[in-house]
Amino acid sequence: MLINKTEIYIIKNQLQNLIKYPYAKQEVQIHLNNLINGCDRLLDKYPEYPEQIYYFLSTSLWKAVQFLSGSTINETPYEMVACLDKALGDWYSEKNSLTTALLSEKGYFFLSSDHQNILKRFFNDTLDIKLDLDLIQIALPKAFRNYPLYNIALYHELGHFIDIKFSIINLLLLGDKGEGLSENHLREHFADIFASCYTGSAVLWFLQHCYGDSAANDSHPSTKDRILFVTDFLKGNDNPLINSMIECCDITTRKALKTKFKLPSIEEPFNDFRPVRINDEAELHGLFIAGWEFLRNSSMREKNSWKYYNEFEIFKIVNDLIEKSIRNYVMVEKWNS
Amino acid sequence: MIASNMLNSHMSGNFQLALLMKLQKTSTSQKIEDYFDQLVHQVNLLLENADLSKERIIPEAIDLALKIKKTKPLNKAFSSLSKYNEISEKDAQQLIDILRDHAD
Repeated sequence: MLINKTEIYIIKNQLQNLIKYPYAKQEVQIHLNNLINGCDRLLDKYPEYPEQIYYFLSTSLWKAVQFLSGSTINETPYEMVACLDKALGDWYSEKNSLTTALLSEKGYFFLSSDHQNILKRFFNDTLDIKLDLDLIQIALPKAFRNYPLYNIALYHELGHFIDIKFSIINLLLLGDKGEGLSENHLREHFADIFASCYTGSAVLWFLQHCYGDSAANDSHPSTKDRILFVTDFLKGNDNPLINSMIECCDITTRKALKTKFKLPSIEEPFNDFRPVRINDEAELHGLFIAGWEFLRNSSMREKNSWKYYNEFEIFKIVNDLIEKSIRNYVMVEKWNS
Repeated sequence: MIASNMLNSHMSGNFQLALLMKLQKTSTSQKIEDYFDQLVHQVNLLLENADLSKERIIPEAIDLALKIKKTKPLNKAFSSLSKYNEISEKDAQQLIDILRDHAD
């Protein structure tokens, strides 16, 4: 069947088109070149492998095109990606790159693909082409691109990614430790407490703000249960399911599921409409909690200047100040490295 | 096609790829064979509830063990597996068929 050969040829052309656009990380450019070389090798060797193998690989290559096409340097929400990169680095040591997709609807997801594992194994072990970069795709609403306080939802999505990548909840299910909850609900609870490791109580405010008092459905637990679960985790209350999640996380990742944030003092600089100086990664993540607190607590906004703005403008300005604070931290860090 | 159905399941991709290569008599590298053997070893440990504290667990082994636990025919077919180079084409075909029939 020549169709598989043709498909790989078409994918190769798609990949070659992507070379025209700049990426923030040089590794992505190298990865792209390696994929193109791999396509060439597959085409040269055709029909050495069975058609089903070509089909298997072309499906995986399509995914790679999808992951790479939406993440050029102009589109990426740089500040949010920088924070997620730090969090990801706590768990995942494989060479990786966060790629982004901006959605026209209100939705968030974090996507990894088993297809990449297949490509990596086949390219490295059979074609002898080094493919060592894991592409991870984050998707967020385009309208929220510059609203980091909304985008803390991506920490929750990162939790899903870590769960799937290391099979944490699958290990919990294998050991029948799910306390009778459905697989979907377990995954949501895990992603919530993972997010709270970095953004603490901001997760609770975000849940209340975005989901109100939603009842449980097939995919998600009720907001009330989610809030209780995260509260138990943050307060260190004894909860058998949380204990099992911590244990499974430890076995699969060899990392501890614990809080990793520290609150920076933002009142003074924010009241002067200045970004805050962030001292370390813990404060970088804690900035989101401080930002939500600043918005929720009008007494924190002591300077009269705030009274000239309506609530929407205040929300926008606080988000801007958070973005600038993150950007300054990343620039100083790069300068010092 | 077998491959398209198999790829509907995001789990156990390398396990299935290795079986497919066995079935199609495609020459495999030693690395793929070693990975397969380690995977099978770890799945068996997980299914036996063995102490895993000293193992670096392959996530695919957890996914596969869970799938085997939930899927009786797969449990039976998997129990006869040992080394990659000892798998017959008939066994590989049987496993592929079961995985296809029970794709998530």
